[in-house]
Amino acid sequence: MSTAELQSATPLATPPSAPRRVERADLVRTMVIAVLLVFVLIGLPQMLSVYYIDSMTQVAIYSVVALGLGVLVGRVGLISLGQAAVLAIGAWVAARLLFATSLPYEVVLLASGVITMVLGTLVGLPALRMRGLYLALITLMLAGAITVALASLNFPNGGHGFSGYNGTFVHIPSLRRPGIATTDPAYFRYSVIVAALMFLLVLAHVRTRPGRAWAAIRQSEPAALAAGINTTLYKLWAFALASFITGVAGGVLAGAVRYLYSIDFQTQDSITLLAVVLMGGAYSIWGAIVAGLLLQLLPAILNNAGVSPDWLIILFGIGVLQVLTTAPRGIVDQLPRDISRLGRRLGGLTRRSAASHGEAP
Amino acid sequence: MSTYHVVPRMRTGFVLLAAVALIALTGCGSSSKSSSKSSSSASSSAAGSASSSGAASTNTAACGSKAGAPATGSPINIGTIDTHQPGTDFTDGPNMITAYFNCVNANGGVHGHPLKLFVQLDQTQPSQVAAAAKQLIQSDHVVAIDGVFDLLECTIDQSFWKQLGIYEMDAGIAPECWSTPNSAPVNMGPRYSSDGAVQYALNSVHASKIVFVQSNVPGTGYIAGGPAALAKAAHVPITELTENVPITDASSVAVNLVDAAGANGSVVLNFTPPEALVILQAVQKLGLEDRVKSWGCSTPCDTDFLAKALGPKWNHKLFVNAEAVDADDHNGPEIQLYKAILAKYGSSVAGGIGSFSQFGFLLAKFLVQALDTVKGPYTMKSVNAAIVGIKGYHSEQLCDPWTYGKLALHIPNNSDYTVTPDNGKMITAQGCTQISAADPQIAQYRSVAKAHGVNLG
Repeated sequence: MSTAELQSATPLATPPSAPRRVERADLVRTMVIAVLLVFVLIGLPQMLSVYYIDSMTQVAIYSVVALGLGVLVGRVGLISLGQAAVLAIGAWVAARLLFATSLPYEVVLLASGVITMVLGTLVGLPALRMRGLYLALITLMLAGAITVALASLNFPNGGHGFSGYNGTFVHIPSLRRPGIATTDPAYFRYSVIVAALMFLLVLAHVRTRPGRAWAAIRQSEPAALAAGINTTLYKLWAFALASFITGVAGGVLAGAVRYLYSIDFQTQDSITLLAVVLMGGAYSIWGAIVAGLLLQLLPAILNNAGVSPDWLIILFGIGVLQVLTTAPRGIVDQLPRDISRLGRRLGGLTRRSAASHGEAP
Repeated sequence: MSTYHVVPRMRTGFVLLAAVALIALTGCGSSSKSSSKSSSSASSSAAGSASSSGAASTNTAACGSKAGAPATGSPINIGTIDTHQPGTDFTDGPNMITAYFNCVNANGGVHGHPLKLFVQLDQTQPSQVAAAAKQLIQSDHVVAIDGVFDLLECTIDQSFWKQLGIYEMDAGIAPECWSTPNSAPVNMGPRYSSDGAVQYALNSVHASKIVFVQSNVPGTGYIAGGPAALAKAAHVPITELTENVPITDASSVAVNLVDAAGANGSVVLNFTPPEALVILQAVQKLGLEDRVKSWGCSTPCDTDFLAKALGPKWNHKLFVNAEAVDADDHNGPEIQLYKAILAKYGSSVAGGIGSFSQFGFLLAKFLVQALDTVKGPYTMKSVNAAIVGIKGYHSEQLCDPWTYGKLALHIPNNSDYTVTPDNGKMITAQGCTQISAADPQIAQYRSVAKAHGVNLG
């Protein structure tokens, strides 16, 4: 949790004149976000080729997945390495419902979120007893188990039965999209709106009682217990929220790619996801967007330039090392600071240069 | 100097470095109109290399209409999408097409126009494959899709090609490569190749039982559908098995296969060479190679590498389906041209002579022949009309003439060879044989093709 958020959670520490300033700052921030959102929804699809529109749709989806992991890692301090498997569950449920029913897409998203939330919370049960490396290991193993199960079950392809998979098809039907978003630019807008709603949902949690409880648990679980916080409830709550939004993201992913394969959901993807979340900034909501950009836009740019995206794994390794040693709050915190520091330095140089010219005869 | 002072400088340095790298990458992506990896060389450089080697020039001159005259017109942009990831690298196919294009460009081009291949690589991600197709059309302005060697592409993009009126030519794997109107492959793929291997066991070895085993990946049901239909038509029992890859306990797999087939049965494998080799070496180690009537394998086993690795014990015991002629075993003018182009322009074809480069050669050859028939400008419409109009193109490498045509499905390569190891080399065991129409897909294709007047060989 950022300092500002912690301050807003402890009103006694705030001086009497501060609320008006905070309100004004909040208003400005909200307006900036609104303008940015309007630009992303209207301006960006006009500027980008369909290749990059598809990539930005993936950015929107994976920003939500990163946000879910950010809730666990950044807010509660729980290292989960099972989020890619949770995403796969969401995508599987959505695909099954899309093939089996004619339910509105929004209902399918909600249902995949809720079902994934139930399953994801089960994955989170070990978190009640362990933290750190052991929790990471357990969630990784569970993710591996889910990946193996999905590989055997296969993703639905329009077949019948529980799995909805028919391996004998010579023509695999594609997954449908919502009627209002059948084209790629329209689906991009749809994905951004769903992502924005998921961000608002998380923000609503972070700014209220659960957010304060998570911050307390992250600082010290015994202290949180001593303060009367139901740590079991709030830890499971965090897993439920992260799983819900990841499940919804899985549903959006199903419509984006239109064909799902178990090979696209590898256990090791969760490790890469954690790396980009740490690089982006696990403590900030904006960090999730940076993580989405790193995970989906950067490979698209590299691919477009004829460079294999496989190299990114090295870049991410260096990035995580850099972030952990010099900027624990991630790029989202480091970049503005470094830019302003650079600006000050350049400004100083300019002033010195002007002064030296002025002194010259 | 304290750490406090060092760290901010490091951070600024890192940020600057990262920013420069990102700007450079973005610049690469946006400044160039041809944003895919364009792997065709300019006509001048191709011409330069052509003139540097007299002997090779004589051999490769047949690929173009004007020997030794470099093409100088506006390029004809062609696109392809290919799987390239650790463990699955299909880039030999597009690299061979590039080699062929370079040869054509150095020898007059197509009516004076050089050919330029835009290659999009994917890592088996549906979103990436879909985006690659859009990139080729919208940013690279390709007029045709030729030479797709991809695990998913036919499934993902077939509706997009249909919408644009594009008729792709490929060497596919996904079922839609054969079952849709806008795709026609030069290869037979896993299903029909497995059909060929099972057919040999049924008709030539007269096996009383078939054990068909393949890797446990999506689509196994579709592949097994063909062999099951052939066995049923021959009233021979068939056992279909799948194995998780990579195979970790080859000995138990070998024992299970032999037990399931019995003394008069045949085992047919549908694996890539490394996995097939692991199983066959385990069979040999346990001395089980003679405990069944015969061993069979689909096309991927058709490599000298496998024949060498297995050794003489497998001579005439393993029968491998071959979708194209064995290039080592034949020496007609087309095979000579293929080898000459490979030698002169194919330095990036890592596998050298082999089915990937043979299919790449065929895809390039058929496209160039089709482009030669275009009257007027090379637009998406005119080029694709020429492609879909391909009818009865002959090749030394295929059993039957190759036809596209406006058909509901395309299995133009539906007759095959059978090869067998012979002292470290694969040699022909059986010449051209039509794949049985007991496979309902083959029957459907032949019926549709016959109705459209396609010569089925």
